[in-house]
Amino acid sequence: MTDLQFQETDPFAPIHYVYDVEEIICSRRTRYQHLLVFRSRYFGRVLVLDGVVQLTERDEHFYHEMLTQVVLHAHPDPADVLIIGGGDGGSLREVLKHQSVKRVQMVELDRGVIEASREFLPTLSTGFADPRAHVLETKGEEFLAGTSDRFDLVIMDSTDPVGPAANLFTDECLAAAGSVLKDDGMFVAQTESLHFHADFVREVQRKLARFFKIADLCTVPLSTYGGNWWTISIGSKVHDPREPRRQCTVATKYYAEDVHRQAFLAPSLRRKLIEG
Amino acid sequence: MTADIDRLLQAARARPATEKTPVLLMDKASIKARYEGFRACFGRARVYYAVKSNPHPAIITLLHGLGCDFEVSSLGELRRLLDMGIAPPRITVGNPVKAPELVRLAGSSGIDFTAFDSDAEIEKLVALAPGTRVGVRLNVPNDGSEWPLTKKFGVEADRAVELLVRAGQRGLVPEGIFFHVGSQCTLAGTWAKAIEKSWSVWQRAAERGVRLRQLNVGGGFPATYLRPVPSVAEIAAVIHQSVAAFFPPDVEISVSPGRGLVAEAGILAASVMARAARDSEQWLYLDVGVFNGLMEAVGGIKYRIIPSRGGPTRQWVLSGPTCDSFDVISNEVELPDLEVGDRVYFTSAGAYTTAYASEFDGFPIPEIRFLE
Repeated sequence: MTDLQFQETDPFAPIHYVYDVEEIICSRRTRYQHLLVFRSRYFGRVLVLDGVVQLTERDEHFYHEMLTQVVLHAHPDPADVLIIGGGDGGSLREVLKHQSVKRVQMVELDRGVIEASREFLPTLSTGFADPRAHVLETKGEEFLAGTSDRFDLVIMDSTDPVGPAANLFTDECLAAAGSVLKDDGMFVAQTESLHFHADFVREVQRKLARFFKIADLCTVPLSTYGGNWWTISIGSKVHDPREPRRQCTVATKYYAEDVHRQAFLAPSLRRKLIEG
Repeated sequence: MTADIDRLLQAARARPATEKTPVLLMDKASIKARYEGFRACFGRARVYYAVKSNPHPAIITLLHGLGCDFEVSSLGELRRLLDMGIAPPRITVGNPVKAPELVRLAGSSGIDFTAFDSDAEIEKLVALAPGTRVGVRLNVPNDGSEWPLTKKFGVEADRAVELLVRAGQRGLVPEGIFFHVGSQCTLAGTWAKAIEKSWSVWQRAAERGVRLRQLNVGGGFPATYLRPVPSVAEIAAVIHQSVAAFFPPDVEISVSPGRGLVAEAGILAASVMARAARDSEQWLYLDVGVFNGLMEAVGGIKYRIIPSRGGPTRQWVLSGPTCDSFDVISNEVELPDLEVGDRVYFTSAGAYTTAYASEFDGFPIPEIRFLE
């Protein structure tokens, strides 16, 4: 243990974790936010944006695999994928594991995050070199409103939707996400903790039920996000997201077919959540 | 009596004499066969099981596994289905007058389609579940129904058209028509009349700019009690013929059988609790009556009643066990000279029996058991 510590300043969580810091790797301002990468003994490299931990090398796969692999396996043949946010590259890496995927459009507002990831987080940023990956530097809501492309999956990998990314969860934005999806497409987003933000999750589920035939959510246990019981909300036009439609043949550490089946919120809990 | 009911009766008679009564013996194979009958007769049409007729979880699970969809009327039914993990797109709310809590949960869980028949219901939906897809409940003749449903729900054609237009103006999605020819409807031609009436609403709505897609031809499919009834296939043929005569080929038809799916799959076994001579009448008291299972006996359903022993028959007043004088199953039933403890079987008792039952006067609701 060194004496140096980092404490989160997340204004959206009622708990703040403290990390030991072995080494500060990078601390800089991007065009939109402050970006910090440090190394901690247990967690490895840690990416922090505006004082909030975004990922650690130790546990990022729980988040990135569950955000992406559940819908990737619930869809019979995902070829065109849109990622909104996700500048660290973790979601892109997961999506590109699938041979069926022909093209991934990433829309990330802050190029500074991508640059820092390529520089300091090599296990996350492998996908940027893949010819199937295309990066656009713009706001997610603007891209959704303007594009004529159609996707099998829309993956919303944003910063806190109860904070800076609130614009991505308006009626307009969710309706637009629905309209850029193909007829059997699926939408997925990280939607905070059930412990701390059940009201937000409820609101998202209710909205998704209006814009998609099926609204549902799975959860994933995360050690480093305040609240820990993390929700991944899904809107689907046709396919039941609870049902894996393809065998898992890609390399994963946490995701597996049985994990997929047990990850969804128990039906009675989901009913109580949306009833409020 | 149909062969299937006869088979169930044999199975019921073979149960151990020690089995506690009253008990409702249900047969899954029979429900499966009935569902497959509907499936075969109605092709691509959606089949919604009217959960109210028998909401036992094992029946719901069985039908869910077979691909059946579900029609609910209340918050309690909807909660039950959601808690069992049934996906909201497989559920419709057929009740045109819904509790606000039901509207809210249906809207926020993503239920596809619901019925309405009043301005107040439109406003409720607008406030609590904006953008919901709705169908108007049309009043239709209930000729041949032994349990008519007219008056309570449904509006006449003029009003139906106005309501559809209004629903659209208020931001709902007017999408179809629901009708119900009455429960236990024994005249297939009644569906033909209802479909013709629906077509007039459909056309007039189109003239007003409301393009409909769905027609729910309800339940009403009869079960065999004492008299022979038209089969599902016969009724389906009439429905298909009428729909084809009027409607465009892309109309989405759905049916909502309850009784038609589960009634014949159930045998209610009861025991003689007491007997007495009163004036000139012979009274037979069973451990099941109108409060704990046979409510429909007072409303028009005449059950086939099979005694466990033979012999010369006489006329009995068949009574339930409670102290209420309303608790009489039948004033004139021909049965042999039964003794206390003898079994009596009611056939086609799988629907609207235990679902209606109360524990009035401390007499238990029949337990449901499944014949294997």
